[in-house]
Amino acid sequence: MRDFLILTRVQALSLINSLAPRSRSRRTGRGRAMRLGLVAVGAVLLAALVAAYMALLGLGLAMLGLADAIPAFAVTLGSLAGVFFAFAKANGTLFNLRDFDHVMSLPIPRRTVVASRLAALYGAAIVTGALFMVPLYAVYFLAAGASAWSVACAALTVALAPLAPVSASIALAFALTALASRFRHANLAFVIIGLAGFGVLTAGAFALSFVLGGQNDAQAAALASGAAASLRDALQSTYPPASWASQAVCAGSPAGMLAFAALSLAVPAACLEIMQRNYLALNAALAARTGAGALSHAQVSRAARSARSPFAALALKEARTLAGIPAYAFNCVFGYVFTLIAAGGLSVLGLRGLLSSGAIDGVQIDPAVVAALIDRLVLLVPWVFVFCAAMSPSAACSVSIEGRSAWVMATAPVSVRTVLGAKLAANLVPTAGTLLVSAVALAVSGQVDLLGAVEVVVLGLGVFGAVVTAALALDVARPNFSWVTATEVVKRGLPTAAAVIGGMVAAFGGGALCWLVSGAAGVAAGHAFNLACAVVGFAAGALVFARVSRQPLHLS
Amino acid sequence: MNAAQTAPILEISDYQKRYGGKVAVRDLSLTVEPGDIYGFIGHNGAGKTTLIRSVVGVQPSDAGTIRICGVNVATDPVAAKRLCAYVPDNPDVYEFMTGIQYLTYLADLFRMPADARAARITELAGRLELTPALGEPVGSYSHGMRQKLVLIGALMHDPKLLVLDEPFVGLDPVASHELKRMLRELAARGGAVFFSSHVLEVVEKLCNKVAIIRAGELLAAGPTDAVRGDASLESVFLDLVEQDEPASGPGERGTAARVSPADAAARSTDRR
Repeated sequence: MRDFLILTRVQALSLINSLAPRSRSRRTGRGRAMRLGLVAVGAVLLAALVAAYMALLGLGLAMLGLADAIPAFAVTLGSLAGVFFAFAKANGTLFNLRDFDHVMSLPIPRRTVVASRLAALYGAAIVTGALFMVPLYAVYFLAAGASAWSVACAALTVALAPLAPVSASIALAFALTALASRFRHANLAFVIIGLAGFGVLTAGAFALSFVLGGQNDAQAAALASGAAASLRDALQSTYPPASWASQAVCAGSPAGMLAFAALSLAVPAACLEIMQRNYLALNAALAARTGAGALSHAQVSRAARSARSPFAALALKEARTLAGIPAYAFNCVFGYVFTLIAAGGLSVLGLRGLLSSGAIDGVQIDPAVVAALIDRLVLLVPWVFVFCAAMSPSAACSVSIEGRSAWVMATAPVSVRTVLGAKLAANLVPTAGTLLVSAVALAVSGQVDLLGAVEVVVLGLGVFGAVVTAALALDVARPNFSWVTATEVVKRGLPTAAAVIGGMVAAFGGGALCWLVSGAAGVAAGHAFNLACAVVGFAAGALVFARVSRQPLHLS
Repeated sequence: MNAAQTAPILEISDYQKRYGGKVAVRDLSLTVEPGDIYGFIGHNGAGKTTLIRSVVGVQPSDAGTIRICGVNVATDPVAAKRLCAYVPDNPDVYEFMTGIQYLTYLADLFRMPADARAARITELAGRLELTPALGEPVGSYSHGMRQKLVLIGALMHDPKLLVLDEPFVGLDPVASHELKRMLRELAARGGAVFFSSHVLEVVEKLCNKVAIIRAGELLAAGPTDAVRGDASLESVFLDLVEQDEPASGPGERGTAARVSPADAAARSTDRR
């Protein structure tokens, strides 16, 4: 246990360093503490927002007479909350670690090492799950009353609910890595297989949601008439452990609690055992991957003749970085896939059909209302794509991702403008490409007119460009080159978080303002607002870029 | 005749670097001329890597100037970097690239013509016996192979100044011997080499000039023969760095304690 705690403490320190990197010459203790404090305040605010949303959702269910369904709903949500993130982070948490040789040479059992690596994933999933579950349980106990047993069971389910699904998710990532390790380009294979899987999953969930959305009127009527059991049954049949937990909390069933706890502990234990047994072999397989085989002088000479401009070489290197580090690709490429899925969904289903189907969580508008508002609703489509673009901020952490190889960038005889410009181009060119394809699909399917299509591209690129350039400037100012796993800068780093949250705030805030402007001054004013936002975005991005390009790229 | 042709290859004047309140290197000046192979020695934490990182432009200085062929590293970094190449103490390069991808990437950054880069890469990779491995990902390389790769990348564009931090660590004897030949060839072509090392025998045999640094202060600098006198470089080095430390640390002192090469040699002779 002591070894486990020591190794886990190292993980915690790496998390702290990824949020506020140490710099030998610039970082003072006070500045670092202040930065960590700001991060903590931001996290608390975000958590409060999520908690408030979940509490409102719980209140809505209770007011419909569905309080009995809340525990099953909470357990299902808590179970699934960390699944995607665990899958996306598992590869980067377990493999290609810089400290692998060092840690594995320590006199610590392999099981403890693997457990300490997984602890970060489980910990994050439990915190995320708790954010969803605790407010729902609070509403449930207010509505249905509480006993010591039911509160104890609820507390246990908060801690246990994510364990089994997250284990399955990690095991899937582990299996995919094992499969990918057989390919010459193992990391790229993992990224492609994983993204394809998640693309199918997202599209499937979207389609399922659309199909289920069509039944909502009848279901809502049934539920409103007091058929609370139908929702609970639906949740319980979808995920039986939720049923066991629900029986424990609602009916005081010890057997239900026992079954839920046994499953929640057995699955991670089995997962840990399988992984620790195969951990060395899989890491060795990944480390021993080979390339094109032994090259001859003639082959080297031929390969060396391909010349590019420095800018093109830097941009190509950025693309190779993205393809070569799975954690980086998962965090920053999925947005491109999501953009195309959103465009495909909108083009196939149509804006009217989508808004009245209930396929979008919490959005189900009467068709007559949709028809009356459609011109104003179309104005919001470009903001949807601002949101999608914000999920691919590869440039945000592109300085830190250089890691211990950053000396190559810092000693290259090229200007800072060229280095950072290539990093931005490697992000903005694919963003522009996917936005362009999306705009064409929407225009061809008649969802937007020519002006709307132009807005999709320029607004998405302008606003996202400004956000990601600001995040890049943040990364230039405080780079973290000392990461052990890429996840530290890709997932936990402040620049990426700033880009994603900034993009969301811009998308929702801009969309809301556009809605207000078009309501007050007409649809034409809404179009003008969108185009003005695009121009402001381009200008802000250019200003930030010009400023950040003037400062040198130093390593300390 | 322009400044780059007449100026020393490397000219460091009154260089100073602080980390917070601690002075890492104080008022250091030295000059590297064309044809020099300049050894830079000192104990761990003496300030060698700090100075080297400022020379190659990856770290700003707090005072003083550094010029490469007359080009100020602080005010015209791109031009200075074009004249220079760097081999760090840890040869970490992008693990997802193959060796040949890394070299062509560097050649692109240095704007090397296609024919020239092909010729240099094949020649250097052949001499360091890395040719067969260039198609493999760098992630699969041993430390020594990475070191060779970084050396090829540094030498292929024929820099005027080659700066190396512990370049012989991890190299096998054959590669080590070949590297020494390469450094001599670069110096013979009118370039210069400035490197740090803890292997004093190598410095003594390879370098025509040497500088000794302790606690951020230059203790001795000049032709190797003058610095060591009749003694071995190891004796001189030990003698200099084992002298009593001043009462206060380097951060508090106003002037650096300097020891002339002649004094150092005399002390070493006495010691023997």
